[in-house]
Amino acid sequence: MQSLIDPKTLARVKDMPLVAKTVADGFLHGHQSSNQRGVGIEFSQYRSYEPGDQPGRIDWKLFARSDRYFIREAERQSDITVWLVVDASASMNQASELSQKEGWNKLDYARHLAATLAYIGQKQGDSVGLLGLSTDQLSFLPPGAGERHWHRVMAQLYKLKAGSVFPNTNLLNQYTARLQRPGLVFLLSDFYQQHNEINDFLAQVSHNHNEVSALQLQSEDELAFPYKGPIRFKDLETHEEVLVSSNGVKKDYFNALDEHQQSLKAQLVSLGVDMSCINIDQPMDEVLFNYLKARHKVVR
Amino acid sequence: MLGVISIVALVGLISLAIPVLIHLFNPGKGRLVWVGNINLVRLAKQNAVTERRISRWLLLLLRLLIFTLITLLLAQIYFKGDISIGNKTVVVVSPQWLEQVSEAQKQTVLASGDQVIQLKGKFSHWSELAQLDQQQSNNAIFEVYTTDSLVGFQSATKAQFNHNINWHTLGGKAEQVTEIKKLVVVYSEQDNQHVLAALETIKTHRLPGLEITRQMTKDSQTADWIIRLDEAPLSNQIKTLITAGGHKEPDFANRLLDLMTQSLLVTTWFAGSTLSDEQIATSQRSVPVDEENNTPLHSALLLLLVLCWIGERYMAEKTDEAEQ
Repeated sequence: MQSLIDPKTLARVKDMPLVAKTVADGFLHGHQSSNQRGVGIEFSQYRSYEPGDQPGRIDWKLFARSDRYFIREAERQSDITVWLVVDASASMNQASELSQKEGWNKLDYARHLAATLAYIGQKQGDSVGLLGLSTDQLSFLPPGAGERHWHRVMAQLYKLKAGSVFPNTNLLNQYTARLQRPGLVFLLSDFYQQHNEINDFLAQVSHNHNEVSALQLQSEDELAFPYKGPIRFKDLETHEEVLVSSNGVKKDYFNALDEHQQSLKAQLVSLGVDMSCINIDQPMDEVLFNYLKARHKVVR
Repeated sequence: MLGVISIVALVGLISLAIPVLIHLFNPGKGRLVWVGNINLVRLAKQNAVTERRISRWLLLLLRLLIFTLITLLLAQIYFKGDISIGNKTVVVVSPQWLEQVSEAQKQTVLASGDQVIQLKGKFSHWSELAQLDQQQSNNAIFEVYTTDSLVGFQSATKAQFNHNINWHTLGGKAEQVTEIKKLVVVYSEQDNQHVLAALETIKTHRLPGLEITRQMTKDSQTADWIIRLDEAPLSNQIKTLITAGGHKEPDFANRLLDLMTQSLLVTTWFAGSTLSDEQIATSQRSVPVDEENNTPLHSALLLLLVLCWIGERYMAEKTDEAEQ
């Protein structure tokens, strides 16, 4: 890895497309140590020209060397619909204390990550759809391809604000029906739920023809619990307040966190959903690279 | 029983609000951190916070105690030792009351006291009670049963008592008698000068209708009652009173009137009048701290204050340490 781009630094310029392009381009063209040329646009095979094939797809350089017509084929076809589902509940406003100073929270990270994934999808020619979810605001953009559609995705992501809680499945019926078509669904969420509503949503979306990937966003403070002295923790969604002595609860907190993570993972596995944890305080392109690399291995 | 000398100093108890306010608005309650899932923290918090809360409350309690002790020290609290041993109920009944109540009521009241005393005189309840007040120990509680008739209170004046006296006055049966407007006392040369002075005092302050004369006149014949001291010299009781130095006492005139009028049924002079409960009721004298049987608590309070302060410092350090 030659360089890591800090998305927080990029986010200061308040230009989501630039961040997405920078991160994605870096990932697609600059970081690979292998001989792969990218995830979705890599070369697969040549086949002989058949009547009906478009002349534009003929590899003319190969023709010059071999004097035969070959058609260049990519490994992936661009017939996949990529759904980006962003949890916009109030808990997504959480940030580590360091990130908070820089105005960077889970929702910001989710928006930039979604923009990057949309950019990659767009580059591969995939159709990208967007669903932003909170009871205050349901943001829906039907799938589409091309750069102009990608800009529409950007605009929709800009408007996305965190508020209230993750909606229950009754409110989402009309959208989940759209998501049940064959495709790839990315759910970007912290997976904090009041009544199992995120799991219910995933249960509706996940099926044999659909691949669902859950990206759990966590902050450094959640993982390291760096607090000292008495702390009043307040829930972003319920506004419930709990006063604790940080030293006294640290060990128990880690136990509770482990238990929560294991339980969540088990639930998602039972639904056939692949889950990955993302630390929002780490550089986004590094996280994305590791994620897609791991995912590529699984797919292969 | 506890008492205080400087009641005003008890205003210092308002200072108890200080630690309470500090406790309520303590900035050390922790800084605010917003989290996405409070359940994780709540699951972890149980033991540590309960322990912390207890130490916080204990700290508040100690601070309240310190302020209370300081206030009590300033108020000069003392301890009345005798009372704690056990109270003694002294039932005092007046002759008038005994005449008016039923037998059953009489038995009930007389059986209610540890000691029963009947007032001897019909006219000087206050002065007799003042004597009893001096004689009885500190733990005595007086229950006085009397009528509201002015007769019982005609001599002596109401004073403050050492004991708290509970008055039970029976009212509404004032005797219907003819009012005596004129009383004549005829005296002789041999009569004691003290007696004459006392009679003058009585005339001035108590019986304006009293006529004191050496010889009977025509006007004297119209008197309702005539006391002939010239024919019947001073009674033995009066002589004894004077011999014993009673004429030097401030209430000599009243006592003299008492003795002179016992046989003359002067009761009737006041019998038509009654006193209200407020007029009868006596007040308790405030007791100085150095009086016998009262133990000042300064040393004990001071010791307790020091202990509380040490405890408060220890708890505060411990709590701070736990919170770091």
